[in-house]
Amino acid sequence: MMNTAIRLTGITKRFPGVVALKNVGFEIHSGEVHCLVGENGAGKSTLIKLLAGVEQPDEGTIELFEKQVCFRSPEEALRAGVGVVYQELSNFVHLDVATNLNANEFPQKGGVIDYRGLYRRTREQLDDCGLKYIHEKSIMRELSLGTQQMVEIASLIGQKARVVILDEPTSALTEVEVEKLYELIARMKQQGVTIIYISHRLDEVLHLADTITVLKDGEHVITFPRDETTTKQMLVRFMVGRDVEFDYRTSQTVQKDVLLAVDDISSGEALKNISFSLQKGEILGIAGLEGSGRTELLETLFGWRIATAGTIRLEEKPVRIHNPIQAKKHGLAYITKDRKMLGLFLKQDVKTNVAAASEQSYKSAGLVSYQKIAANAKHYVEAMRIKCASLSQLVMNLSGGNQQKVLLSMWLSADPKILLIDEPTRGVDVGAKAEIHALLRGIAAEGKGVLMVSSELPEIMAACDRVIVMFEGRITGILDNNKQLTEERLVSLASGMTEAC
Amino acid sequence: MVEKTVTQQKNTVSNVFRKILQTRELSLVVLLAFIVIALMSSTSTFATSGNIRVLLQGMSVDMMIAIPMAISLIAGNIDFSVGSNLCLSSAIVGLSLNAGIPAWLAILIGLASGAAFGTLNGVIINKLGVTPLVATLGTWMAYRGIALVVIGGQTLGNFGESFTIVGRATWLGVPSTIVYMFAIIMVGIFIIKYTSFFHNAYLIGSNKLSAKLAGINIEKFVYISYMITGAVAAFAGIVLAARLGSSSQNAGTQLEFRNVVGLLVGGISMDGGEGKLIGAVLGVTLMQLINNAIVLLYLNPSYTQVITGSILVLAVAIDQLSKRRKVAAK
Repeated sequence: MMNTAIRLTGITKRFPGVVALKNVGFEIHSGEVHCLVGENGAGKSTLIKLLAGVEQPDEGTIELFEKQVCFRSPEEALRAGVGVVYQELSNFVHLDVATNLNANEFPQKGGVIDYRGLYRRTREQLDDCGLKYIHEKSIMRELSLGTQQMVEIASLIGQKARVVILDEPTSALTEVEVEKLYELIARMKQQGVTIIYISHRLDEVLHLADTITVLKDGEHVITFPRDETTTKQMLVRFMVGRDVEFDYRTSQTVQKDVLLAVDDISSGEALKNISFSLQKGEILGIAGLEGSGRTELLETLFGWRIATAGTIRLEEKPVRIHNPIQAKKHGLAYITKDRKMLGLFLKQDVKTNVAAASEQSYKSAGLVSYQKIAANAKHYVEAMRIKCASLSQLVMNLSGGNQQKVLLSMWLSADPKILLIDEPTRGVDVGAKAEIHALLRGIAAEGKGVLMVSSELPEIMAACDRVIVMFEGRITGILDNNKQLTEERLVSLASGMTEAC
Repeated sequence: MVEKTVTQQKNTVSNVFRKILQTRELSLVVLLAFIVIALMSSTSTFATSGNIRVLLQGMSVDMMIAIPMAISLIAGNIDFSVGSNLCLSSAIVGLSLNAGIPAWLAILIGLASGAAFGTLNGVIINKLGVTPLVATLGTWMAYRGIALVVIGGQTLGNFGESFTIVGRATWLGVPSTIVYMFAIIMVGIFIIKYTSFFHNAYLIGSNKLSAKLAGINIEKFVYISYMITGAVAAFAGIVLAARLGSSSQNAGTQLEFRNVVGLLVGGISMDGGEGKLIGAVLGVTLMQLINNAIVLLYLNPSYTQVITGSILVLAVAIDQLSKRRKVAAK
């Protein structure tokens, strides 16, 4: 007796250099909680963008309540009743709850905004959603993330959305807020709203879902109803299982000496009691899902984030690193996952970028030597095969892979002992990917240490000598890269399941 | 047939034009040359050594201060307080002189005051987290206010030759103010190009977060750049007071606005990370030349602000449009 809320048939979506979705088709029933799972890069976000009208499919059809639709914009999708609450909330933080809920349609009285009516209507909207504890005049910015999220959801309900898509809603919520969210979802179900829920947290998926769809590498794996027999292991098995592409000489450059020893590092809620060590010549991978604290770990080691507890020892000596200046002095380098905003200087040229972290090295008689800067840049452009029109080309005009190589060159020019790198090949095409991996191995071979965060399991499994797996700020496992290292094991640990040893 | 040739001619002319317009500094030189030639042909008074001297002396105060302001602005930090700093520092010098303090000491006190007022800007920005615009607008008001309180409407004078010589001496026939101006321009261009500390201004202005990550000490740069701007403002105020022989509460009014316009016209973006010091020099010169032109051509001086405002908008608009085309052509 169930209506079909959404039917996808043959959906294909291409972006330059990658096929994000390939011939995806399945159905979402009206009034159910439909969970979408898959690894990073499986295509979940792209699918959401298609449903929300942010992008349009290259092939295939989308049917909303049996009617074929093609949304050219999020506004169109909203008007048709499809709304999304994204991970990065998109509300008006400086304004109050009432304005956020009624941004499209302020109640008017005689041509002028009726504020009393506005607040009254907002109160009703909030009460209808069971959000009695939210005050209509509160400023959004002062509310917690979870509460802001509730307001966004309430806004969609207020706009009579029939399909509400929630993208990783609980990744930044406290436990109490999570409970409130579940209540709100139950309420929406009662009102007949269809909910599409993306989550990495398999426990949550098993708790909430009526139906589960698994995507992998842009393809549809399976859609099935959740019942008592569904287990996390089942989900994990559907999510992984592909050929590993890379194959590098792991464990061949690792030396005995410990380069970095981390003892019981904590940083607020994001990192809890992290302990591990990095040896000379080693590439240590850090795996985990989004929100597990991997980036926060690198940031804390580099002094970009405050450690609230714990110690760090470099080659047996305890050190205090409170900012990047100190980190650099101790031989650390950090390549962020957001190379454009946090790392590169897009408006400057290649040679300036390459020299940016090592300015002291290009001096002649105490003065800046542009010859030395150019010579250094030339060295790296050749060594790393960076494709650029000239050393004076602005970095913003380079491709993603070449930008990544420039950022790597910037830090290699500083001759670091330890390289912290976050998503080394994100947004990089296959050819450059392999080159970057070879470069990292070369760096390790020189006796340096590499700490590499990556969401791409094939990359972790191929390039790393050992792997740390994190979940919700803690380490759930430290594995050697041997035959027992499987993607399944990594995904299990990343989902919070500890191993029965 | 004739039409074809004309079109061909037009193409080469517009191509050359385009190439020149692509370099901000080059187009400014062309514009300046144009104005100079126009003035030379339309007035008999422009090309006289007397007028040139007046012109150069008149722009010296603005120009000296524009140099450290440019370095700060390239790093993305604006300094609006310079005119008020100049006024207050020169008031302090005037009061010291009138109190019998020897000239050399009074000058040192003035420079130290200017540096301190500048450093205060740095403290507000670094320690209180206030953006440079708001911080220096605040000190712009405060410093002038203090100057009013301290001088209280009088014009200080009677400074004695040991002081006024600083502003009235000539070196090989060239007035000292012009010599100081050129010296500061040279030093400025040198340090931003050849010392890594100041050259980092480009990185800081391009992307502050990336600069922090690369281990650049931005706080230190803020302190030092504002301190230097303050000291140079004080120096300019001292030279001005020495030349005029008096120090008043009106010293340095509107200076910050004139300079910001000159810097923007010269190609230094408010966002930071781009522009050359020579461009700043050309921009400030251009604005002064226009002032000079208005006087020489007997135009109504009330038009000055209209013209200044229009040139500012035009200059920045041309820059933005050329940027948009560069991105589209990619």
